[in-house]
Amino acid sequence: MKAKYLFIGVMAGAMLCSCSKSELFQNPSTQLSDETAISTSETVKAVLMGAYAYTGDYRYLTLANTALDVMGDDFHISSGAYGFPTYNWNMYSYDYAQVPAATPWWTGYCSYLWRFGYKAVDQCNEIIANAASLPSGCEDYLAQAHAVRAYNMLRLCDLFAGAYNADPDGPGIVIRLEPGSADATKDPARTTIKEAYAQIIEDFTFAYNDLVNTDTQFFTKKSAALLLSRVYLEMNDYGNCSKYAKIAADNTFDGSNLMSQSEWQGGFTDHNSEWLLYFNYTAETCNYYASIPSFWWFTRCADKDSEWGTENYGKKQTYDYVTSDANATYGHMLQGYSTVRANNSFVALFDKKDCRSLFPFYFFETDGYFVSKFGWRTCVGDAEYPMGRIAEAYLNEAEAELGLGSTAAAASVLNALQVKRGATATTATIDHIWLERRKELYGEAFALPDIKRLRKPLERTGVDHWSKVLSLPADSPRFMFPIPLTELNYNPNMTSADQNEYWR
Amino acid sequence: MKRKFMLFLACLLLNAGFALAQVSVSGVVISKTDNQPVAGASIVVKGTTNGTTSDANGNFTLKGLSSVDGMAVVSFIGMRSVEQPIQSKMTIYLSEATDQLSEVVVVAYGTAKKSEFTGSAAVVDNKRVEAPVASFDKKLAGQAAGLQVYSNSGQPGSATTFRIRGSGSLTASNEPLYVIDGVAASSGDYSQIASDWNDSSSNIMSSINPADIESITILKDAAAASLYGSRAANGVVVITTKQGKKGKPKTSFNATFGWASLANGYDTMGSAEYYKTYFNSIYSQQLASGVSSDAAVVAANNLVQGLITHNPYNVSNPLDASGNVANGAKLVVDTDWQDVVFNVAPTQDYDFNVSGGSDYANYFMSVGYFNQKGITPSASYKRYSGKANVSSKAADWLEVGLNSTYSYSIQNTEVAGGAGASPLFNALYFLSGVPVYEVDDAGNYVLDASGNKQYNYLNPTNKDFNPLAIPAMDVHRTFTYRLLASAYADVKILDNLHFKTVFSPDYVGVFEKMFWNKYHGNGPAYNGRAERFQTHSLTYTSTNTLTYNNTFCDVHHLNLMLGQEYWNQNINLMSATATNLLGDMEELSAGSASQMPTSSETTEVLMSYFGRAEYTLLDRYNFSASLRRDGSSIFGADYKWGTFWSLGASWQMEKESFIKDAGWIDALKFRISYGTSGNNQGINSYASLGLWASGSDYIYGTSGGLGHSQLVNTNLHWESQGMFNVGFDYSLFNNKLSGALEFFDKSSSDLLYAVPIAASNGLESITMNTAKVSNKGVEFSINANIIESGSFKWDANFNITTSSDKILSLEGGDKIISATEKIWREGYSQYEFYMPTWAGVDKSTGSPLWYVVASDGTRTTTSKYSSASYELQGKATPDAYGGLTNTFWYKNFDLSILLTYSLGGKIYDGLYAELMHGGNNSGTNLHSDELNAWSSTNTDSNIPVFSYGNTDKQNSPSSRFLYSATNLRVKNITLSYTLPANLGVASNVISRARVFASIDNLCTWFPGGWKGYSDQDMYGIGGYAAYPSIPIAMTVSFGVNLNF
Repeated sequence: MKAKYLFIGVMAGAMLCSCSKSELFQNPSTQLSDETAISTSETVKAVLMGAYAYTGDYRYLTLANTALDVMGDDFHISSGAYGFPTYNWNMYSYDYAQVPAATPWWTGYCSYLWRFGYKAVDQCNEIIANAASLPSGCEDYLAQAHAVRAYNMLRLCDLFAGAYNADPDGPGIVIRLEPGSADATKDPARTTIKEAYAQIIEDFTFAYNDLVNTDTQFFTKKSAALLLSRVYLEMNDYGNCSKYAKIAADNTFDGSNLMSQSEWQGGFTDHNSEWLLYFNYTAETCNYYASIPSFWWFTRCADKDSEWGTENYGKKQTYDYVTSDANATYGHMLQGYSTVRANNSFVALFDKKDCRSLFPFYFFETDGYFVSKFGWRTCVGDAEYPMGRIAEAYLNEAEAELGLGSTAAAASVLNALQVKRGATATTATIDHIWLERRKELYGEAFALPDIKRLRKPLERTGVDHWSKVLSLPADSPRFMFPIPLTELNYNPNMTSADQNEYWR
Repeated sequence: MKRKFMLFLACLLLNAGFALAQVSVSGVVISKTDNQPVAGASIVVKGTTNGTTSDANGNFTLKGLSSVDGMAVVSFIGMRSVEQPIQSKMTIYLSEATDQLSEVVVVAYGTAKKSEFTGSAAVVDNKRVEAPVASFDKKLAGQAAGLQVYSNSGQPGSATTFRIRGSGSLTASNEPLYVIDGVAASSGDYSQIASDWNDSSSNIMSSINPADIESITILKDAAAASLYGSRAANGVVVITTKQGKKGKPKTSFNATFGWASLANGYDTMGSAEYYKTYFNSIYSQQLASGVSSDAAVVAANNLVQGLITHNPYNVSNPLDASGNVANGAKLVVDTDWQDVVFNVAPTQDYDFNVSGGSDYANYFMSVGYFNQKGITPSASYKRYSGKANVSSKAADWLEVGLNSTYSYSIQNTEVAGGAGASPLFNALYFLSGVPVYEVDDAGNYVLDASGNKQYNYLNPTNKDFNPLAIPAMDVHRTFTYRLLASAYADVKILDNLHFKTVFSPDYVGVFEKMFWNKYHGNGPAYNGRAERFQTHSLTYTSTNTLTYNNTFCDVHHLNLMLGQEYWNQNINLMSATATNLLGDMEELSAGSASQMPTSSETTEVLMSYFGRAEYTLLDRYNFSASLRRDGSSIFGADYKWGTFWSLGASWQMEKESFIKDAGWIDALKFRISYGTSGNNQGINSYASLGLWASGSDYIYGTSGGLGHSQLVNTNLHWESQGMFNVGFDYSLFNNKLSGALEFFDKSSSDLLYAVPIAASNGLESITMNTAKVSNKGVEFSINANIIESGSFKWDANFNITTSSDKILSLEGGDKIISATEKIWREGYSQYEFYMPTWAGVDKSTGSPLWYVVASDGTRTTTSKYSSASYELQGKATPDAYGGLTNTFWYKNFDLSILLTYSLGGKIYDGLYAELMHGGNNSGTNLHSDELNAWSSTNTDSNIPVFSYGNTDKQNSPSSRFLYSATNLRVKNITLSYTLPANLGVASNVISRARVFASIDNLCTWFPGGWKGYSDQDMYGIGGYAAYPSIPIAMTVSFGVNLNF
């Protein structure tokens, strides 16, 4: 019997001291709380890195930048009919066949673009909204946060709003300045374009004033200046555009601070001194097939006898020939999706000697040219990506000088760029500058924003444009993506009237 | 049917007639349920006192008979008595008296006499379906009222969707709590490879050998379940494993072999049909653009071949201007990709067990081996299991025991969903003009240097994939180690007062291997990629209960229980990846580059105090009350503790004289209960905190980053549920008819769900307790002993459940769930479809039409999909569902036929929609129905015009692809034969032998015109799946049970 009571005693004792109420508070092992996330300069930097990471997310940067190029006149996505299937990537952007719903995914790109753009903005807001309480050593991160936020809001304007020049009072974007909140009543309404641009300028100006960082994978004073010049150009504010373009280019417009021709032809895989801002993709973070190079690159040239500058360059080839072992190795072939094509009509605009004419061959006349501007280092997609180059400062400066009435100054800057690239110098008209922008900046997401900014119609010519949308009038309501339903449905301060006109 | 019945009757009479005059007869008594001998059964000659009992092997001898005329009455406690004509050699089958209210059911923290129980509980027969399956849950469809079981995939080892009385939760889990041998056991999916990577699943319940399970009880209402507090809201599945019984050792061996195959595929276009469909469209487009006919022929042939990426004909311009095959042209590639991917898959299942016991100890031991191949190239599941349950009466005041299960399993997961590597996706959408192997222009195989066929990887559907080759080259393998044990001690403090302590560790270890080869598919981008995942989950439960049981003055029976429980779950995850692999090695060590390894640890704690009181007056009025207080670590700082309670009463009316006098009523019990419970399942352990996650998604360049991952909510707490239940249990006409009729009203409030927020917040949702959902229904079951006459018996079990589910309130109004084409709206089911309404085809243009509803309700049509109005389209959940089992016994044969049915509800065929793209989605195969698309000569077609480069979105979600979900499935047919008791010399070794043949999922009848796989399970409760998983196969199996 004793054993019985001993047993019961031990069990009762164990029961009484078995648990403590503090165990009901558990914390995750791989996440920080709202408080600790901005408690040290190290974690503030990590929040900022998250903002950069979202800015370069493939569901955003790849989709957005490729769309902004293939929605213009000069490029298209292969129709999938010539042995290069599109797997639906971006062909619906090219074809202006987007819808506001999130599904099916290939026509619902707008919800990804919007979501990841605002994720980047939210990360920045966490830093900016807590500016007063940031630990010491975060001044530069705060300035960068302003720049990253402005960069993303400008990109969202390019995608979802009309041109400032067309109607500054037209619907812009949602301006978010506070961290995400469950309180839907705080959701901002859609602002005007003017208000959006005022905020973008305020942020870039803050960044410009405070930035000390000089590492060009992050925002620097100069890249903030280049972006300011870009924004002011979109607003036809030529004075400020020129002012900041000059700062970005160190007031040097003689071509000496531009890439050499061989650097230009090197495949845009690594940054150089002309790149004021680049996205630092690595082999681990580049997203491989979903990266920008995956859609653009195929191979440098068809074979060793068809290098750039030879007679054979730009000729018709066959798939089997180009992909045969020897030629593939020689041309640094790596097939990603490889579905972006330059139009015949665009290729024809280049001088033979223009180093930017990187269109090595085509398989079918009706499919357009392969493009070898964006290459790779160790695997598909492993390449740094330019987000702001001095060449753009030249072009901004030329256009601003023209706008300010200094035709000669405009021509001088434009010609310096043209000569450097091996193109024929031209007079500085708005169309010549625009053409030069297309030649210099293709693949860097300027095509559609420039059409909107310059209030040009969409004019797609040539047999290789397969879209049903071959022309659109200037200021077309189709030049913007639909506002995604994930915003319209859940933002109580937006109604269906806030949808972009074409999808209303 | 009638003729067969007469035949049976004739046989029966014949048997009686040939009875020979003897003074003694012998026989054997066998339980119909498990085909095991029944020891201790009583055999009495009717109308006499002459009788005997069966021995340990079920054998008996009746002596002292004057003749063999007359009837023997065979009875055993807990089984239905049987009268059978006396013969020289008798085999008597006893069936369990499931229809009688005398049985004992396993309930929360103990057992209860069913007659006194106030709650709603169903005991389910997991032995009825003989087809071998990895986990017991897959066998339960249609077998109990209020129970819905969906096998979401034919992937061996995969998860099952289990619903008890509908879905009370919107976004947290709707899966029940599983209690194994008295302890809440780990359930769900522990695999990262199957669910996170490959849109499939694995099921930790598969680690339990179904053959080790003695009984399964489903606790449905509050009186039965709410003692489990914050985990009880979805109902509780109580599993009891086999225990040894007193007597000499019994040994049994079971083996089953099965062959599974795809029952029904989609009718997709052949190579020539697809070619011609595209050719015609492109040719006419070319002509319209002003090209000459000859040039158009060349251009169209060229384009189609480019689209297919292969020329399926032997000449370069196979079709001529009229779309006919040119002279000399011959089709050389015509691949049926469904045929290529799906194959016949074998299963083996072996189980060996020994059990027995003495006055002081009982034991049950088993080993099992199960090996199931899936019907797709690489899916399979293999399990080795062992079990030992022992108990000992260590002292007259102390009983101790240990139940333990060990298993090791290996699942090879077939990639499912929309991934390029998914053979399921590719089987449907690959073009038939794409060859499996590389072929030359004449269609002959292009052999490699060693003379082997070479797989072809060029296709327009998924870059660099081949659904036959990649599954063999890549690895998606999950190794699961599980040890589930519970040790207990039961101390008799006083005669009426017991203290029981249970300690139960439940360890789940998962090691997973993923490998992407460097040559084709996903791997080349990484030059080969190896990934390893580890999950270590240790859950332990310590339960202490004090039970007092006493009867006062013969009329007051009181049962009290007080308890305390502590539950702690600790999960450690780890993963590592290496890329750029050397040679053909598949291990991390072969890599020369790596991605960031990850690890994380999650701890969840639940502490509880609970009590229950049961009181019975005059053996007929029963009352129960329970109370539980739970504290959980997963809820917000302001809501750590919750209280749950229940009240129940029942009345055994048959004991009242006014019923007793009726005579034909054996039992009639009225039950009523109400109670509350909670649901904390399926909720992230840290769901209440504002969080910033680290990880590879937030790395920029080489700098680590943090991403805003969750918004704070200190008010987050369990979902609350109130359930009202009222019903009758009945047993009539000498137990010939029995069953239950009940009504339930389940109201679930404070539902946790990710309230969608505007995407511009940077986050898409926040988890809050806001919504309210109601599930109401009537359950009716009837077990009929239709014929029981000598060697022929016919039993039927039928159950039906009507259900109605409704969202009662929703924060902020309608929520559109676009991922499943649903809407959440107050007053409607949470499974209400929401999409544009199909208005047919424009007769003049062939354009698709959808309805546009103006604000005044005026309906017009549009051919622009983005202008179409979204409308409610009906719910996915059925109005009624259930099952019907007919079981026939004739002599040594028994035949069981299980039908399941579902009435009402809708189902969306997204796979068919994908195949009906009308040119919107080049590179995806077409359904044969597309051959009947609108054309200028076929203007009555209900299929819109096909055109190359189409962007009319004709196959986007709309009511066009919604079908009635009403169906009747022949779920299982099993025919078995028990070998005669006298097997000659073999009888010295084998005491009993039984063989059976079984067909699972024979066919399904859809009156609504369904065109897809004959499987609605893979579409789940929501009736929607955007991408395919492995369809549930038809399985033919054969097996043998031997007892020694």
